[in-house]
Amino acid sequence: MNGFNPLKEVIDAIPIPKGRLTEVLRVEGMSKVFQQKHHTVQALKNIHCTIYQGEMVAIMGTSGSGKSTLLNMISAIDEPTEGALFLFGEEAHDIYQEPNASKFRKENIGFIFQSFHLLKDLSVEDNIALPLILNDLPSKDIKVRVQHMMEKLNIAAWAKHRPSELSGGQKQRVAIARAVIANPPILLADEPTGALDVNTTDEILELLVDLQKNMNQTILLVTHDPYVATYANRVLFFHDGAIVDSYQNQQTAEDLDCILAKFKLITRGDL
Amino acid sequence: MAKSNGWKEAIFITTQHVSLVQLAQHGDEQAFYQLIEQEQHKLYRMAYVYVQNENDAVEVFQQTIIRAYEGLPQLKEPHYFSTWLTRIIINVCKTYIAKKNTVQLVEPHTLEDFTSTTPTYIEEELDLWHSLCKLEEKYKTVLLLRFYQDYSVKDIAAILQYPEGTVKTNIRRGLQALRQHLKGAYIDEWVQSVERGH
Repeated sequence: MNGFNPLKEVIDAIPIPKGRLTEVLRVEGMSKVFQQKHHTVQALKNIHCTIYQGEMVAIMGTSGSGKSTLLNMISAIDEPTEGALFLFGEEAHDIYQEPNASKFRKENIGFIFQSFHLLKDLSVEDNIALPLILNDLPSKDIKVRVQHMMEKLNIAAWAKHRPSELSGGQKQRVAIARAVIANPPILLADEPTGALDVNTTDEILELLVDLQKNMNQTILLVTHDPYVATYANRVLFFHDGAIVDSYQNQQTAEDLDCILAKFKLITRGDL
Repeated sequence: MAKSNGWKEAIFITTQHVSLVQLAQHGDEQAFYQLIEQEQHKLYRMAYVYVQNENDAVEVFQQTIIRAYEGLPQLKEPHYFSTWLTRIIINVCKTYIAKKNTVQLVEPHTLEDFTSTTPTYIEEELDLWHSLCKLEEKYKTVLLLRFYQDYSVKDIAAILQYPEGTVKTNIRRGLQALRQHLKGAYIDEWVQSVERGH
């Protein structure tokens, strides 16, 4: 065939979305055994999973299924008995001892929790600025970025207020702003809507989807709520320390039923 | 590398590829991602031609990789990794579009999105792009496989599990449809040259 091929040229001109085809996080053969006096507990059993850039993945499981243990391994809080963690294709070595562990978390992971964990003596803007202060950014840059983030998340009016003066949804917005302000490759959200009412839950989940779609933020969402899991691209089901099933959301009304059905099957109706 | 060594290089690449597939089949994730890395841009662009926007194309791409990873142990012939992967992405695209269509009718084409991200795009190429998007799925698929992925008619028949005659017919009709959309001019020379080859 001769060299001229307009079809190829046209297709090759489709821009590759920056970073979105890249794997951000990979967990390989990860196991965790807790040794206790008279018995051992295997909290994780040979976990394999890969998270891509710009993806929102939900981890679902009942308490004791191993999901929190996995989060602890990913965020270098606890060391796995076996297995490895890869970040952007590179094995993350020696991240389980201090000071490496803190450095790893500071550079790579933003956290949000069910109970917000905001510092009560700091104003909203100071709470959000914390990760940048820890990263030694010049105070002028910090101010600009915090202001921008507060506007984006619709909390600028509360800049000088203390967390105690805010509603649950507003507190979680502040926590999200703080989690993503230093542009961490991964946002770990541990039951982020666990303490919120139904409407605020939707609002916060939509905010997460917005971060994912428009800022290409990779999000790992831990939940036991099938409804929350429908907001993710993909759901991994945990049971008894292992990933036992997965589901790719189709963004249709059937997602909730499918997730619920799988979850019920795994937990044998024991919701 | 000198030209005469080309075949040696080709054999080396092929055997290296096959051993990577075998490694991946035995659970070597590093090997799997090396394989994907070689194909990822092509796969993404294939998906884009079907779904025509970035978010859906990324989604299809990721679903494809996950499905490939899960299904890899079942692949019997490592040689067929690429064709097997291509079959997966076509199937994922079809299912994805079908599912989307059950909720909402996809706009024929989000041209603005595309032009806004590629300012250097020339008008005639846009016409061709537009025509490609409008093609019936069966024609689109064979044209992509034949002229974008450079598969032979025989390979395409194997990927799609159609008789070779059907593949040939669809390629011919696909090209005719493209020409009709484009009303002659621009790609005529190319179409005529590839038609002569079939």
